[in-house]
Amino acid sequence: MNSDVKNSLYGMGSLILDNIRCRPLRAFIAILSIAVALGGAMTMVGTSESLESTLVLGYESRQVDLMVMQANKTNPMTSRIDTSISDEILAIDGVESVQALLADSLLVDSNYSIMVYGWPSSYQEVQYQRDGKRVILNHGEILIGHTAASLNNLSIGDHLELNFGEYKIVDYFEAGNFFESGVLFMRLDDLQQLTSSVGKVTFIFVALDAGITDQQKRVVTHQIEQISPILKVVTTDEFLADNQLTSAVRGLGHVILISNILLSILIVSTIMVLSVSERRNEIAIFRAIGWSAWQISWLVILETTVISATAAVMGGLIGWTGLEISLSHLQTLGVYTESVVTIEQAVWLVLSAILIALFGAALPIYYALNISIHEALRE
Amino acid sequence: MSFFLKIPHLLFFVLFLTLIPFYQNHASEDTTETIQHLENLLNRSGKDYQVKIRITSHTQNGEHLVVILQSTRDAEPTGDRLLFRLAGENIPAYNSCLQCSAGGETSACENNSGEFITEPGTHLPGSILPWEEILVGACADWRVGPIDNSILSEQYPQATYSVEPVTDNFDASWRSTLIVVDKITGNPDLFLRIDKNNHQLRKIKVVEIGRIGSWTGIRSAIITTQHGRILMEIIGFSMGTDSPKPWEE
Amino acid sequence: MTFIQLENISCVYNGVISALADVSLSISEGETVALLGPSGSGKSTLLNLIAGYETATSGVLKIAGKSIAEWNKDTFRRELIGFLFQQFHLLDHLSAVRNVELALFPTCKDANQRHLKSSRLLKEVGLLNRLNVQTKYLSGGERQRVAFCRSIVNKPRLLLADEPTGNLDSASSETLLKTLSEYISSHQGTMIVATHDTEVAKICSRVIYLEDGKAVSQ
Repeated sequence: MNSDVKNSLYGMGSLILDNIRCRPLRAFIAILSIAVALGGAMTMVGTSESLESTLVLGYESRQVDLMVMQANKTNPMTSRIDTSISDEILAIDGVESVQALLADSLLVDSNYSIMVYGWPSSYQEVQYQRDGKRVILNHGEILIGHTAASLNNLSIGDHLELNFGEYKIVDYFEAGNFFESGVLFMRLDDLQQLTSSVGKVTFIFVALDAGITDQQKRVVTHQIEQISPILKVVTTDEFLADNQLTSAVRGLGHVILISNILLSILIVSTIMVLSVSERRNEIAIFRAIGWSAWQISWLVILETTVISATAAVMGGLIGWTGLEISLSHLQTLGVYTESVVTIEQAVWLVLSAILIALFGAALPIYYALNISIHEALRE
Repeated sequence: MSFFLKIPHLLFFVLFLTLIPFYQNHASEDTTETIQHLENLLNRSGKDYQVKIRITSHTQNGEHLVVILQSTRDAEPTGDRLLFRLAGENIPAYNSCLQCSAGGETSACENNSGEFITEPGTHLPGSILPWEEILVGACADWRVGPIDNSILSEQYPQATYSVEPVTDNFDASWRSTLIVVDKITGNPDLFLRIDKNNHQLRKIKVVEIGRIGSWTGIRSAIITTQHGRILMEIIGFSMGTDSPKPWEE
Repeated sequence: MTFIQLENISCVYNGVISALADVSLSISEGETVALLGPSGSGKSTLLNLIAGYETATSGVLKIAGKSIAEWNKDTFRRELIGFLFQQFHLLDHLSAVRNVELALFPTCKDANQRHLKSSRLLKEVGLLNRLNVQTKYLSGGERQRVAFCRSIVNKPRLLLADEPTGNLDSASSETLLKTLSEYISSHQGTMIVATHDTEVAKICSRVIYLEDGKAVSQ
């Protein structure tokens, strides 16, 4: 940093605060607008991160380490692999247990589609604990996730036609994560019959022995892939990274974040161009008494920094409040998520503030440096 | 106001202008546009592809049948070659091959006996789906237009368009197909197959429209016939026919 | 030794309005010059050209042996010249001492030093009890003295003053003239004052008359 810049920074703070104090309403509106823009974007990004983290927790609670599916599938839900592969995987050293799942989208009452999971009835996922009793599904019986029930106005005892087959909702399913809260569960053999997929499943979830090393995990992965060339093995993190819904929410969050940052830059730019325009005389005086272009630039940058930093702090508060509201709203729909406030979000806020300050200052600086001293002082 | 002062306002204005098209209603009152939209939905791309269709039938007797029809389309200048494979829980696997000529005529492929009957009046094995629905869907090119028959217009007032094969070489059991279009989205809601006596032969309810490979088309539909209901769903799709890209199993 | 050299300087606005026409003059270091002349005679334009606030349409302007174009404008304004404006051009929402400190921002890193230097100068011009008063609450004479302190706080080699008493009553003018005289006698700097006021001219060692953008007598 050259001495000019250092000099400029000394004592400019109070000059900038004086200027903001002189125009409190405008500064407040600018700060609030940017704060809302950043806060909204943070809510979206935070919601998507919370959803993802809830998914991870869901898989972790089920002790899923690896997911086996059909390779070369853009949509993993269209994966179909032989159920018999489960036994081959179970025989591999280091594998503690396997669970197979068939997933398919079925037409409800000739009206709308819903995701249906078929679990082998022997698995604990279906023999779930409720009020101290375990429920084992019979043929023609289904469980419904809270979100699916809430969104489609369904409840226990209702009969549904699924791809022309008759089913009865016998209970709610306590979903491990929000995806499963939006689906129906039925016996694997029922779903296989209904979708002409006898002997087929979509995924095989693999739980490895406790304390297995990463090296051993890679060996197990390799051995599973050796069973058949059509198999693909992914970790839950990799699977979620490819998940279309979380990717869509994450993508939307990032689009909103970027567009709101651009919007904030425009807001800061407009406010500062107006401010510089009103202070033409003042800036001309600074130039007349020897302030350099760097010093004038720093004056503008520091002012935009004060505005955007204050807005970032406010935006953080708005964003995190919005996140709590968003997640509590999702919870009323039966989507149980945990609020995730991360260092990464704070870093994003700081980076956003820096971007807004720097890019928002560019046009006002250009304008300020092109003020003609004698014309401005004559006004 | 100085030029520099105007720049941010100009940027806002440009931003606003770019957003305007998003607020415009996608549906159009314009008949030509709707016809074009319907034709785009119905006519598949000229490229080779493989498609997997799940056909779930529910008969009047309460019987529930599911089969999966896999079709490979090999587009050639002289016409399309269609390979079919049918599999289901209660039927043996069938294979068949058809040649669709450029003019829309269908015939069995050379060296292919055809393991299931592909006559228009027959049903697809393991289902109650009339074979002709698969045949025209696979071979015909479609032309959409306003309903030019005033009797049909009066009898089926909810229908606004009709769709016919471009060539008249299909020996189908219906004479006309009327389309009921959703006024808001411009998408088809229903197709009504009408026989020569102006009676409704069968009804096709569109369930889902979405991406099929690189184009947008009807992904699932329910066909109601005198024998029951049939749900047809596209459950797999890939472009090209080159091996080693066999069926998605 | 020639400090300021103007050779055939002309300044034309919008291609038609001639503010200065073919002015040539030289000013030695240590000289105090009064530019006299009616309104529109080109006095302010001449000062603006020397200060580098405006650019001449044609001609050569040299200061301290260098063409004005060769000077780094910021260094030139901060270290070589001080400018005293008729309208003071203070930042009204800032205190007297903060206004003077502003001129020290580019040259002095130490905030205490800036404050000390500014306060000392203001004390010398009789504004000790007005240091922390916002300049909008000061009288015209006091404001011009604050502006004067700001213009000399960096010890410029050349002080330019444009109608310094133009907005002042007679008592304030008298106080300012006294201040200027004291400054001239205590420093050996060069000063150019554009004025209508013959009283101001009296404290200068040389008078140049301008009329219709031309130097008619020196």
